[in-house]
Amino acid sequence: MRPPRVVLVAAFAAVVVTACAGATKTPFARAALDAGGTFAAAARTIDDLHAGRLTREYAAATLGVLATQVEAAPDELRTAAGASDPGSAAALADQARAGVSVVRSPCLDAGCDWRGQVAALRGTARALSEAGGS
Amino acid sequence: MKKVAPILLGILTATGGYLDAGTISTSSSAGAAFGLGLLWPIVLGTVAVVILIESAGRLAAVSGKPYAAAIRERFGFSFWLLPLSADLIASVLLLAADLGGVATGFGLLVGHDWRVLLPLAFLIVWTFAWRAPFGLIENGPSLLGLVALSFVVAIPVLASSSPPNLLDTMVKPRIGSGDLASYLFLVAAMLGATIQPYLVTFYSSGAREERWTRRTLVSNRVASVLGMGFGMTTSVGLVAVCAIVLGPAGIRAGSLPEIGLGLAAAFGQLGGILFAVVLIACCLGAALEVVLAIGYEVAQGFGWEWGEEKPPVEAPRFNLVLTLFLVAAFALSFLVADPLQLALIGSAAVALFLPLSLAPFLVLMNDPDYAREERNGLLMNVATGAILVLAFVVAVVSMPLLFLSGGG
Repeated sequence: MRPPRVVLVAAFAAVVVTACAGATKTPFARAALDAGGTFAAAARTIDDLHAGRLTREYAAATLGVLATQVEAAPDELRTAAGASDPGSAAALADQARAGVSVVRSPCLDAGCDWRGQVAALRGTARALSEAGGS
Repeated sequence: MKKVAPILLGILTATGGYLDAGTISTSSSAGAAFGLGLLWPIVLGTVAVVILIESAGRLAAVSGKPYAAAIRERFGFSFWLLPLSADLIASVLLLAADLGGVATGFGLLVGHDWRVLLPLAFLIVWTFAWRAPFGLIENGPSLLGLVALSFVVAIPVLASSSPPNLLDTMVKPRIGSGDLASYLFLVAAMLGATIQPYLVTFYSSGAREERWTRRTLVSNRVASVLGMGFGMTTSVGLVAVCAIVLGPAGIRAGSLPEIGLGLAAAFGQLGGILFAVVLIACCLGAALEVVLAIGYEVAQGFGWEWGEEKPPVEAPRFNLVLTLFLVAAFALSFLVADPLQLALIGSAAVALFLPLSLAPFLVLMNDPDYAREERNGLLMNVATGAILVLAFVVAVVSMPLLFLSGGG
């Protein structure tokens, strides 16, 4: 007797899932990479604005989106499963929290220390990307 | 010249109309994460969509019936509910993403939060869908969307800053440890983003709106092949720009505005403005196609009056359906508040339901009552069968991969 088609489909899906289950990143690594990417984008946006490559409107709207996107990252990094060391995860979460503050209040005018903000965001992005295994 | 004009227009509109929130989000994520390693799903998906669209146009021109009406008539009401339900779920996600895309584009131009501009996007789409003639809907946003070719123009400008061995990633993608699920998810989502069932419904209904006949078959063939082929180049350009600019900077294209940083690297402030226009034009065009496709599908299935050329009073239920659907998508966009994530999930949902939407093709295109003497030959049947097998595989793996990869 042939197995019903739905069983074959489920078996195929199960094979794919099993094969890929070992080929995924941990929730912690994913959270770190996503947050790292967002901080890298924020650094680039501020840098491009002051280099004249972006309009102020574009930069302001982009940083608003990035701030929303990354605001939950510190808590996620603290609680996500798969961190190799809870202590370094907490340190990364603190670093990310400082980064979120910068993205929320970026220097859009030349009068403040935008270079410092770009350097801090790049440092945070690098640390998170390394923690995410990239 | 009279014969060439519709072909040229078809090519131009397909070129501009190829990109939507789904293709923009999947292509940019692919380029940022895997370099040029995910160009092949774009090519494969484009070949599939050319075959499907050409078939849908041929069916409508020869039988006088658009795809949804033919399914309803040939397979009965109960069967028709299956592809309809599938299309409703996938399309509401994509429409919500496209509304968010239009609002994001406006936000980037004026410097405001896109959520504030979401009602404006809703109003523009609704006004077009409610009152604009079909020709304007088909050609206006799509012609404006030709600005998307700036991604292609940006490639030579950025070539000198291209990372070493980028071309090698086309044949040997760099799939790092733990990245396989993301790679495979993006393959499924890119195929879902390219092979959109709403395109088939819209295209075949549009063929009826424009009263295509057998004499239109040649221009249908040429426009679908060349138009989608040119359209594909915009998607390839998007992947390449993200691979050159975003990937090496560690930017993962996790939101729509990040993608514009690629064009800013090539063209400065103009690049950002161009990207905002691309977002507005492409997402507006796609939103109109999705919302009209759902209106067409429901009205044709229930046997109601339908047509964008008719005043709303002559097709009230058709216009009511598209308005209610638009309201549902607006609410979803407002609540979920991440157009790119909606687009990725919507593309995965399209992939999940593809077999349901596309399976009737094989029967209809071989039925002499519908395709008449323009029935599929052996080659087209093999190609359509291969697309169905591909759709089936993609459907089975898309959702498990979505959960495993966390959405790319």
